Amino acid sequence: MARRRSNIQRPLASFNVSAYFRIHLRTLFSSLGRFSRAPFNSMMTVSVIAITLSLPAGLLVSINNLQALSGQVDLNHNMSIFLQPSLTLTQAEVLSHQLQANDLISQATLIDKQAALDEFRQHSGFNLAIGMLEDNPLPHVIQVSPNTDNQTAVKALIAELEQHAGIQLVQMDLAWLERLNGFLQIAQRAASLITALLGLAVLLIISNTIRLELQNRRDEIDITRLVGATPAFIMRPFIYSGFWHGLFGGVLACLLVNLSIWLIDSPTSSLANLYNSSFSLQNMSFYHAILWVIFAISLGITGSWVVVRRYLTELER
Amino acid sequence: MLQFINVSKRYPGGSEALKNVSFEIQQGEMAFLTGHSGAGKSTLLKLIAVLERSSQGQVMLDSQNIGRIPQRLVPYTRRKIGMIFQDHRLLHNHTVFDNVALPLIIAGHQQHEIKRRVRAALDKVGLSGKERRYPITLSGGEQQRIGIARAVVNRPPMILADEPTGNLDPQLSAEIMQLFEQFNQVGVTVLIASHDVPLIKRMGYRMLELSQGELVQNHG
Repeated sequence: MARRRSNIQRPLASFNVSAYFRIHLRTLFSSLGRFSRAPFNSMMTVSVIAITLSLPAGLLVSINNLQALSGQVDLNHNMSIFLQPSLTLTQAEVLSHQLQANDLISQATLIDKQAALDEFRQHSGFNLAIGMLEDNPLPHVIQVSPNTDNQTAVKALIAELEQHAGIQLVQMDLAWLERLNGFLQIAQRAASLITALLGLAVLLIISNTIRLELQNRRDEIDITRLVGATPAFIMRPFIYSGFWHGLFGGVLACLLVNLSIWLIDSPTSSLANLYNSSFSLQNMSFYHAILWVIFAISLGITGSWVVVRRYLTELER
Repeated sequence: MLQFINVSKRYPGGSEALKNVSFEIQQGEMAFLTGHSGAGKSTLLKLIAVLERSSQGQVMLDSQNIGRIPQRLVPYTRRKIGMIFQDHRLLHNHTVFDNVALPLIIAGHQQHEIKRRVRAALDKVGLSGKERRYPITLSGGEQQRIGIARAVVNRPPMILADEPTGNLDPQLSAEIMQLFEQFNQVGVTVLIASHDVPLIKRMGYRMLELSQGELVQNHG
């Protein structure tokens, strides 16, 4: 400000830095005071902002959780080789040894179809139904870990294996994981879009709140202008009001998200237990919460700034 | 201190509120501006406060053409002028103290300095001890004194008053005028718009009379 040269001298008091901060601090807290003097209205607006912001935040946290889930699984190219049902256990063992000898395969483990059936009986709860079967419907299975991550090499290996007479089907264990990751990428894109749209909604909510506040304090603005207030001085309380709306809305949104996670966590853990997994939902991390609150604050400041600036420009015209 | 040089003000639509007005008010002078409603008094005051800009001519304050200063400097010009209004223009949801402190807060003064100056200003206008009251609980005359205290608290070199006694009885009007005389005696330039001609004539200061936008009388 001081760089502008003019023969209209500003009083020295308005130049110095401590006066500048004094005005800022005073306005910051007086706007908080104004905020708390109308608690019902303020809380209503803050709640609307919080709910709007909690939707995209919740979506982002869900995606993070799914990513964590898929991250728990080793991203290697393990595959299950289903053998022809006609193969005997001895034949299967021979095949398994052959595979073990293959240069591209680090490990091959034979799962005997009788053992597989027993395990299935134990864990699935279909004990009775399985008892009614005359034959074991399961084939012998060889689990194979290739010693390369190279996609083309793995694909070539699969093609080679499928040629083998004793092999009925080769299935990549982690094909579903790749699909999940693909789905997550789409979800992430969608979440960004929703964040942008709902962010815009919050911007409009705050703008509208500040616009109403401006109308209510029209006289006050006129009077402060008459006694020599700069536009910056008039704008400050409204921008701080936007700041408080953003801050409280953002914090409340994070609390809402974590509350929802807490509510969903217990059924999720029980479900994960069924899959022998210790997976449990992650809360919004502190880092993400801080980012989210900063996002909310910047929406608050931007929303109020645009409205007040426009209002003052019209007054000065 | 204040000089109008061939100032005209036309509003959009063609009505001419001021026509070729020229006069000068010396530093430390006290003068009255009279005329019927619609004669252009308010427009003239608005030009000084840069609430409006002249269509033609120059409005000089402290040898500066305030009709042409950039908008961003307007607030600093207004701080040189203490303004008083017929309808007081007070903040009704703030205390007397806060109302008077406003110009000092805007200028960024320190708290103890603000307290000291507000007390002094309230003392001068006879409102000591009413700092914590709200304007609405005070009488019309007292509310006008709050407005005057606010106008002088920043020690501006010039005071502008627009019908400051408009709603007051003769006794209170005379008291308010005495207050302006006291400020004038310590060197403040005072320009008061008023249509209370008998009162003004009794006081014997210079009188500028506007009629249909023209300055028809300028003597003291």
